[in-house]
Amino acid sequence: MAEIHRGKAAFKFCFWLAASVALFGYIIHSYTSGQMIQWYYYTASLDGYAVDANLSMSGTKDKPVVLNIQKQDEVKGLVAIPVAKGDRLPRSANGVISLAELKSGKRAVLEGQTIKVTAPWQIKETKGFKFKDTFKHKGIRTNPWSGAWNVAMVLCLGLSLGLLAEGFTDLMGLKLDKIQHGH
Amino acid sequence: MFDFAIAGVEAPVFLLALVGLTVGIVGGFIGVGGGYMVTPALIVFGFPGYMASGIDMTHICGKGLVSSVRHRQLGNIDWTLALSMIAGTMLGVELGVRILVYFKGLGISGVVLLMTSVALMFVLFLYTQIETRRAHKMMEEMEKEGKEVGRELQTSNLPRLFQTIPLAPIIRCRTARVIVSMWVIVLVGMITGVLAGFLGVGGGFVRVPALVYVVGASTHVAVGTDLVEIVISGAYGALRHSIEGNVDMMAVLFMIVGAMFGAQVGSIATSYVRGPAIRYILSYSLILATLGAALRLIYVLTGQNVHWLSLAAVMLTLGEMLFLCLFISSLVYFAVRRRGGKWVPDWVGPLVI
Amino acid sequence: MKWFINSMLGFWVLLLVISLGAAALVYEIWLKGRI
Repeated sequence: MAEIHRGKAAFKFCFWLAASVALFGYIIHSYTSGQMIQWYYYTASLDGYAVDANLSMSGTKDKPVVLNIQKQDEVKGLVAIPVAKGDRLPRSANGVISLAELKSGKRAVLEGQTIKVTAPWQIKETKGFKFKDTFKHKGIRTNPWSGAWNVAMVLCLGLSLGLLAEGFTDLMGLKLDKIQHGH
Repeated sequence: MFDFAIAGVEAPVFLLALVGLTVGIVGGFIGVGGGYMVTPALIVFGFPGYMASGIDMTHICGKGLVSSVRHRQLGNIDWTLALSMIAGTMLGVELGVRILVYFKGLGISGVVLLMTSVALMFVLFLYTQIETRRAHKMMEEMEKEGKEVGRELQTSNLPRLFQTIPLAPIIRCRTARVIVSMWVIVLVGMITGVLAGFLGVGGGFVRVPALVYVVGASTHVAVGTDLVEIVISGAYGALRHSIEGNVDMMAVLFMIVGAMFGAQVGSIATSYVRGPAIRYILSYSLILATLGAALRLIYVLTGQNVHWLSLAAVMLTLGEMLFLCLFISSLVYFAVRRRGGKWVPDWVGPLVI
Repeated sequence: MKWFINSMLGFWVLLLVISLGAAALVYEIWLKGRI
């Protein structure tokens, strides 16, 4: 009898181990292949110019970072790609400088076919810690289905890891009986 | 250090896993999501505030499921209780979020949130601590008199009061060994849901005491059943946060790596202790969280000028997680010693089994 | 030292001191530059 139980436990452990490894692998692959990131920076939520916000973080009023306005599929280098609300964001874009922002001219200025980023950093106090704000995450909308994917992944992981652990303790012979809830 | 492309920060991976581990241990043991510890920690690691909430909520959903699977094996889940609460909880969370948005519109949400947190957690701490000490003393006396001490002892009269409410349908929760009006359960779900939605947490630290002191479930069943609720409300919260762009799945993944071990330790630890031990850990968690929130409140009220207050709040939050893990591990260690017939301090005896 | 183990309050104090110390260590090693 004990052998059958051990065999069952070993099968349970191996099955859920394989499932967990596969899930981890799938999620990591979705990140390394860029799919997860593309789903996050999915569409523009306002009219403006899609940029790689990391590249313009050194801009100041005296030494602005100059972005060239171009129509491309991918944000490569110091470029700003025009997008309208609802458009798919070009690859490698992680923020949108809005037309309203350009109109106010406080942080970025439109000059002909270039955008001069003069103050990309805003030092904000968030819950007591210095929090630097850039154009990153501004004006972007995530793919709503990625939300469902996130939840599905996390639930599948939770279930498979939980059952993996159960298989492990069964295999180790750790006796965990149902607790008697008596007063 | 890992470069989180979605969150836009570089954060220490080891610390993320450590937070997942410690919160997993505590959450699996006392049935909380741990958000009030995780969110400040994530902010300290450099994640923007809105992402800290989203990452926390998503990880809580996964971690809660890991714990629930183990608690199911231990017989700590009352499915009748869990399913009856769901509708109330979901409605409550939605209502709580709307109340929060209303206060945000008035421009006073930060202070109101902190004040509500502090007041609520302090009241819960006082009640839980006083009742548990009474139960502990009673158990000590019973042991001295040679009487058999069961897994649970609870000295509050509140459950009896709520169980006599005659509103139909009256349902029988077999695992929790409770016969109570379904409306009491729905109301518990709703009120805890409102608080969760308003404060932006999983709600476990209110729901577990409510299940024990209002519905009358045993502490172990309250913990297991509450974790099921956390999975469901966590999934809903995670979906909402993901759509808003508040979730970085890689950060969630690193936390789950820690949580998958922590949740096991915490959940299995419940089988080594009696009910009052769990309630003690819950009350300590509450008072330390109250202190942390109070420090943050004073910091905000003093115009965010006294920097050391903010630092102290962070230290307390990190220290609290480690403290609770140490205490839980100690209880298991003492339980194993006692089972082996070795010496344990007098105060430990009635708490472990 | 015995009081820290034999009394519940003492044990509480002992663990809290250890935990806050560990938190301070974590701060020193990983978080000092970030806050």
